[in-house]
Amino acid sequence: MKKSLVFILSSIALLTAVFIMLGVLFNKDENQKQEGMTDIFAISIKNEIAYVSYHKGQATINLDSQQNLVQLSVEKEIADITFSEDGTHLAYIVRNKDLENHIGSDIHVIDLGSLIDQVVHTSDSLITEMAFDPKYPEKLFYIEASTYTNYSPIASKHPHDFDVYSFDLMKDIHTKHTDMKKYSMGSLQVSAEKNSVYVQTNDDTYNETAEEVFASKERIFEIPLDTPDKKSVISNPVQAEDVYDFILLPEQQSIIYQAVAGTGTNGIYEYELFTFNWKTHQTEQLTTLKESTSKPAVGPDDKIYFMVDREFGSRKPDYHLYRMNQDGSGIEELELNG
Amino acid sequence: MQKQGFSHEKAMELAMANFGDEKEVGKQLQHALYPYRREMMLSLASASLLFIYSTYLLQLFTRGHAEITWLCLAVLISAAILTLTLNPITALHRRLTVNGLLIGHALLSIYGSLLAMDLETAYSIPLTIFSYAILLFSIVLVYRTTIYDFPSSKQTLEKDARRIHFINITFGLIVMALSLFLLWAFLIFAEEIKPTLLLFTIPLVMWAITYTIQLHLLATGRKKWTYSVTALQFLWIIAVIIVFTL
Repeated sequence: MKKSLVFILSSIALLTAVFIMLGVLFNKDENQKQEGMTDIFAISIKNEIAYVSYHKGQATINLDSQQNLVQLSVEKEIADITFSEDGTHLAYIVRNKDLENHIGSDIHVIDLGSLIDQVVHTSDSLITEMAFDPKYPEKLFYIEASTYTNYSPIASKHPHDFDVYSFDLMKDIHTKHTDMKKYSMGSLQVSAEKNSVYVQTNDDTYNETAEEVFASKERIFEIPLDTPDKKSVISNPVQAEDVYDFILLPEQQSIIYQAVAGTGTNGIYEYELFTFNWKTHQTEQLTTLKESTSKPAVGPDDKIYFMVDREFGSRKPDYHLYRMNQDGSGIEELELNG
Repeated sequence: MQKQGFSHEKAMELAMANFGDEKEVGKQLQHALYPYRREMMLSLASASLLFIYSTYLLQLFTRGHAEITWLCLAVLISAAILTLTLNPITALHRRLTVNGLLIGHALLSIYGSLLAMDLETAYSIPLTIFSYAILLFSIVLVYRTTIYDFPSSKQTLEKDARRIHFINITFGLIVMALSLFLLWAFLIFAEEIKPTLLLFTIPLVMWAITYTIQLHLLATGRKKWTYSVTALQFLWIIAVIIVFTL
């Protein structure tokens, strides 16, 4: 063999060996990759904001008053957080990041005064969301998925077969409220007056053929807990688009919800917040940020808090917390030091 | 030189010495027979190495993802192309080996372009375009290798052989793209991976069989029969496309 060829080949071999070594050194475990803000946040009656962020893969709950209130190991993630009605306790759902092999969820409640953290419920299924009952502060409602599957070998797995459950922290009683086995469900809220919960899910009431299933829409439902079969759509039933995250404003007889408003120049959907008044049947667009707005929540100041992802559609999200008046005016970004 | 009084062996030795530098002659001969083949193969190998290393490093440092197996396989194939071009070993420097390397290289480029697409937009767009160019280049070289650079000694009807090769490589690419697309579409709607997925290789097997039959018929001088099989092959590919688009 010629000398020049030997030289070229050994350079290639050496370079490749160096790169393999770099690969072994810098290859990050899947669990350590998460970084930065998530869209998970909660506001207490004391106007305190709690939010979840990741640092080198470690899930962290931060408060305005106390950074790193909770910090988990890299194997764990936080699915949801919520304040108790009086703002003295914070509940959060802990799950394994590796849902393929270790499915299970723990609900923790942390006393914000003494900082005592307790596991109040352990489930071998996936709990995705929770909300305290405003009428009875010891009752925690949650959404649980009973399966974690994919619909084809190359699609990723997702939780499915959702239903609404509750848990009485004082009496230690668990109740399964619905038997809907929904394909997806979210944005759980508990009524302050009625014995009802509200969720966002697919409207399959009249689905019989495959075309009808395909044409069915995401809607907001009220589920009366005494007669869960008599659920009803409370979002605009005739509106063409799907409805996602939402909040109820009972005094205004309206809901604020997230829906697709248009498509950006890059071909990615733009999600905005809308309001629907169920007395007047009026729909109005509240935001025009042309990003991805989500997770509306009402603060004790009656303002609407929501998340904006400025990198929606790209590999890493870039979440920012915003605040506005209920009519969509006075939009401002909030500084979080997470 | 023998006439000049040299012995037979001495005359041979001197004739070879007078002919010029062996290496240089080899290069010039190659260039005259197959213009720019060497340069094209070398460009393919070096462009690929550049692409492989940059995609691997970007994947590693922007995403913390080390694609070591792909790196090793892709570098190995590019190095093999480089070696075979710079130092043609007669036993290996054949149509089958070269095409095998080029097709293996093309498949690894497809995987590489998926890795490139997976990067941040700023890197993914130029690298993906680069990987497509490399893919296209290796396909062009498959055509070249088969049609011009390594003509079979069995084929006496040279023009027809070229034509048959051209048509068949094109059909082969269509069949392969179609099979991969159908496999992907099937997997999206499938519930699990089953052995029935091997059915997707049937079009490729049929293509290989009809290609072989055509070459065999042409080698024995039966032109009409050869083109009839080509037409038949064309018809079944069209039939498959029609069946699946309906």
